[in-house]
Amino acid sequence: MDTLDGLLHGLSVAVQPINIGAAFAGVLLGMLTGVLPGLGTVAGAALVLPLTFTLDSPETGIIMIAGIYYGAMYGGSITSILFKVPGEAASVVAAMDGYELARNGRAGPVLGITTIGSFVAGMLTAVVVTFFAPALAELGLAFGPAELFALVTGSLLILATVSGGGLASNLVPLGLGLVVATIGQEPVTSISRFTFGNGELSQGIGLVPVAVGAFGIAELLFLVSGKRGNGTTTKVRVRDLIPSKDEVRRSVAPWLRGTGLGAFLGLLPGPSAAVSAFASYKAEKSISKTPSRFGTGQIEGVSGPEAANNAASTSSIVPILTLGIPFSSTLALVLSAMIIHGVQPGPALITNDPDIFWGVIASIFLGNLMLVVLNIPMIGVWVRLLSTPQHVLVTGIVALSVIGAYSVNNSMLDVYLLVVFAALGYVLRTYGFQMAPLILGVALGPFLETYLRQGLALSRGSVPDLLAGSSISLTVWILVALAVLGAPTVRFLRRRRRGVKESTRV
Amino acid sequence: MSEAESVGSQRKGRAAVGAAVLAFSLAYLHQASSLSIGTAEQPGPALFPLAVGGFLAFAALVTLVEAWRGISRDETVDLPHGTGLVRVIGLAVSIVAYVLLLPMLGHIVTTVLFCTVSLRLLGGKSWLWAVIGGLTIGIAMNLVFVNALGVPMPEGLLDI
Repeated sequence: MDTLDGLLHGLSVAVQPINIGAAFAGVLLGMLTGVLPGLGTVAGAALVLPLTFTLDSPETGIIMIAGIYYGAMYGGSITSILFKVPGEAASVVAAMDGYELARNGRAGPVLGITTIGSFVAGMLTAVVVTFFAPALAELGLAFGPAELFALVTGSLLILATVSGGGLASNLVPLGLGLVVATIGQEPVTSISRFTFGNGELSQGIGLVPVAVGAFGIAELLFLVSGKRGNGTTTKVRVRDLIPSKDEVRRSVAPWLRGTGLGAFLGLLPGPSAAVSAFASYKAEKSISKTPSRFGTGQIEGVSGPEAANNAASTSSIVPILTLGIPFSSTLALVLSAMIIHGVQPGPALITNDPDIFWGVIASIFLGNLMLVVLNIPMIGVWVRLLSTPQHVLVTGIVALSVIGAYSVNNSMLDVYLLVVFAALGYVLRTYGFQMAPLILGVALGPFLETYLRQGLALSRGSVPDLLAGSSISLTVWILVALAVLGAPTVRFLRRRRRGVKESTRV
Repeated sequence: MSEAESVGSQRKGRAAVGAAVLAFSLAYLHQASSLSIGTAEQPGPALFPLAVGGFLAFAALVTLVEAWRGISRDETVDLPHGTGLVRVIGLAVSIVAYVLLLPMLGHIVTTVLFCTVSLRLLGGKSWLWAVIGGLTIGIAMNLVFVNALGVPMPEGLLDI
């Protein structure tokens, strides 16, 4: 099936009434959980993804999953702009100039600009994805266990070094996540490990209790301990969303630049949605004739990063489809939901399951369209939702989280684990540790172990062969080394040069 | 809390986390060593846990060294105090009680109880409003998730 046929086939799957309904419901649920302050994208997605398990057909389930993903990623920006409570790193940038604009009475137009920008970025990136994904899947076929081992290890290392907050702040939660992943039946011979005779534990610890506990409940504990959010309580009506001509004119170039940056960065390992938003903000600031006005409410500081953020979220679907590797915590949940639907993403997906592969691609177009269609009439509802009193919000979310954790396996064990990970997440975050590596450790641990053991078996136990046996693995390791060691080396050299200059001056 | 105290408690806290994680990783490595390691060509179930345990121990040591040398000193910790502390502890205790009582009393009873206590604790309004709110949220959740979506939550005392 060539690309155009595939896309048409995918669209024919996606426009079936049940699938349009699924996309609609997914985007709505995703936006709802993304908007709720204190829940955040990861915990929100973790809570609503189990709802897709009630759907029978895997295509419909996956279209809904994709809808939840886009909805949640976008919903986070609304909260960030109106309340300055970014639910995750990727929406931090939106809060910088967006919140200032909202405070100056431009809340509606800013949301209008981000909606259009996200739509433009999503659609353009979807076109890129359509034409690149099949080619990348072909490349992905050349990846054996050794190459995948290099890629997964590499992406975890890159994440740990670029996420910020110091090395230990990332390594400790990553290690804990990997430890959690070893609990239960091991992936090769199904021997139970670290279960202490508990039958339920032998199934392993799922992502939902970990993500909802460490991100959701822990966040609520922070919310009730601190100051209350002081958002703009202004009403936003549909006609308020229309930006001025000047605002649109100033946003077109940032939208396009942001899309380019985001679409490219989304293909690479690492927290690409957040990185691309920051990169776009920096780019817009350095191009601007009035860089000093950034941070006080410049529309370019919102339109660029929001387009970049959405483009990166869209193109980061590609590594999932073609390699089966998620590069962010939300995508890790998306991947695990796909696996529960009986779909094993990877390079073989395009040939084994063209319905799913092209269905997902088509759902990117559908999801982005839904986002605009839903956002415009719903904006008033979202804004009102944001002014829900904190005590009602926190109480409701806890009750919802308990049901969410229980419903995945109908098991109390998951509810107990939810509380354990909430406590762990609260303590770790209090002392500045990052939570994303924890989730990725849990999600990627089983893959890492399988690739390592299969890789060793294929290389007949030779570690050098495992690491450098093929040109692909060698290239991956070199790129990872450059990414991990590059920035610190440059910083070290710069500091040394400055040191030399200073000493010669003396 | 003063800036210096805050930085001090950040360092102490991170050192404590590092020490706890180190102890945990050693216990984990001890458990892992009882599994079969296999051969290089046919690695057994112990290989990956041993590697992961070693990695975690290393991460714990990095945390201890960073805390000792004061590397992450620019981050200040914002520990809750005063009413904030009361609210955090109150909510945490209510959540634990909710989860422990859930299998015994059932979903609807514990959810109503939890919501009432939580609304009273965090909202600061009268008990009457909290009870009304608790009943509303608890029953609504039960209707939507248990009755409509068919999530088989523990029934306990009331089989509705």
